[in-house]
Amino acid sequence: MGIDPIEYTVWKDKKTPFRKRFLVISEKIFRKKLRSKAIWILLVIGYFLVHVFTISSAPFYPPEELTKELILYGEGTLTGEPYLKGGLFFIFTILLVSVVSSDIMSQDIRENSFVLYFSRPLRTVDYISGKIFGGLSIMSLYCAIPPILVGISVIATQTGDNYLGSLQILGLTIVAGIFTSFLYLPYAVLLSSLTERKAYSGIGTFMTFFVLTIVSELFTTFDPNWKLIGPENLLHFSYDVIYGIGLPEDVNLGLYIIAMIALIILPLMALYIRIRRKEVEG
Amino acid sequence: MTSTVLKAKGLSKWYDDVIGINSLNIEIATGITGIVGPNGAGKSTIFKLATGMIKPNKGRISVLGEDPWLNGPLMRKIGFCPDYDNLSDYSDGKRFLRYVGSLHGLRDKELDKRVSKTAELVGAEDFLNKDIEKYSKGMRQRLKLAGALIHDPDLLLLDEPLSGADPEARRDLIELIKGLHEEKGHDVLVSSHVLNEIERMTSSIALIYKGRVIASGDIAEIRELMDEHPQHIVLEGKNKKGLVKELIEMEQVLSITFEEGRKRIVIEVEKADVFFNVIPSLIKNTGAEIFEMYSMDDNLQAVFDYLVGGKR
Repeated sequence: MGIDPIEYTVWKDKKTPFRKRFLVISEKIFRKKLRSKAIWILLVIGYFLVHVFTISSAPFYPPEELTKELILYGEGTLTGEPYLKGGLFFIFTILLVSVVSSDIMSQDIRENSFVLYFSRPLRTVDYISGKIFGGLSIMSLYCAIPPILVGISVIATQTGDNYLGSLQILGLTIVAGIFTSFLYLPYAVLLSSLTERKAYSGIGTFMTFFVLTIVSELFTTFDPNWKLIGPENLLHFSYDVIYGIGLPEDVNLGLYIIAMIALIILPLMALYIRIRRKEVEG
Repeated sequence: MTSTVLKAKGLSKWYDDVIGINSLNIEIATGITGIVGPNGAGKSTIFKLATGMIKPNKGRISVLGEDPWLNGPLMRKIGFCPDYDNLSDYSDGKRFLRYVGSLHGLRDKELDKRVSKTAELVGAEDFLNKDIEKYSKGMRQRLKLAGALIHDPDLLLLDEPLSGADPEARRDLIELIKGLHEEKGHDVLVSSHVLNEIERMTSSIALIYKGRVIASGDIAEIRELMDEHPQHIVLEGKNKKGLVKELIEMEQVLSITFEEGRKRIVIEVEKADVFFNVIPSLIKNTGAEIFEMYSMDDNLQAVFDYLVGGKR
């Protein structure tokens, strides 16, 4: 077998070992998920049921300007149905996050692909960030891009001249879209890191959010703060914060912060510990 | 570069109540070094410790002068080929190599160049674009090796790289691994449970058994050590009567056993090298027709049995 000289030697300490390396993992997840039929089915149905009418209503039913009421409650749109605060938007969000994250780490556990990553110049944080950003990129196709398109279509056809106000709402919509894409991922990815089976991970994620929503609805009659264990309510309260509306009066700010920490920070910490332990277990 | 590529002192690693590595002391110099041991001896654990994938419970390990635990930058200098493959997530070999190269920070033309160079180096260029599911074991091993080489590391850690490959692929891979050191200057630490395979790559070996290094150094020394113990040589053929008479007279022959209706004889000898020097002329002089001769002890387990004596 011929052995040819390697003309190129890569590492001479000129490049940083870590910077932006996680994007390679994200890109792979994005490409892989785009080849998934389940993802496409969810995206197509979700777009049709949730986004299409709102996006396309603006040219036929031009509003005066882009408002938070339009984005959140669909006020002034053709259908008049709640948009970001609509139940269908939430259901498709948790369905999508369940499918997107189902094998995001469970496959690595099943195939022991950790070796592929951790025998390279990557840190645990790079690995987790790569996976989360990969999931976020797919989630944003449903949670962020359509609301932004709604905002753009409204601004393009608006009858009033308050473009600055509309652009401000558009900016907040971008923030809300990215936030929605991210909100449920830490928990969903954590579940994926706990099992080798993607079905367990996917169904577990969906059922957790679904059951919490039901429990929240049931117990809210006793105390309004029970709303805070409902993932849908947390999303809606977060929209209120992002759009400057403020939390509803009957919701405790401290408990809201604790609930957000429980949904985002604790799963991320648990995920970090889990991956480090998995590395140690080999 | 340091003259020692890997050093371990009092290194221990256990998984719950199972001991992977037990107070292991070893110093591996530059060049090709073979880690030889039966399945479960602790070879893979050494590689996992060397790549910082697991943390030692006791003792220290340094690779290229650095502690590998949580040492991402060190991985730039190390290429690791694990003993199993995880290629199912890639449609073809090129995608796998591109992904691995990207994880090392290679992009665009630089990445393309390295992918084709590395594929050429391991002889994978012909099947690089083919469906990975149709790869033979040998092809998979070559691809994994390419994945370990893509960033041109100083040190290659190859865990059972010949495992499952057919004889032709084994021969090619052995030549390739030798070439990686002799022509490319890579230091290589390669494991196998087959002594003969390692012997064809290097004369420097470490024998691992039950998580300990029981012998290390030049393979000739190991062989010498083996020669101090009786070996069992099998002869198969016809017209062996005269030969057997001569063998009985030999000082080195301890016993002779007939098997399979006298078709096969098993000769217990000490100082096997003397025996092997004499046997060709004995066969010729006695007119025996020998079809096959081999040492029953020329396998790793026999070597370990010798080396650990009654301590097993």
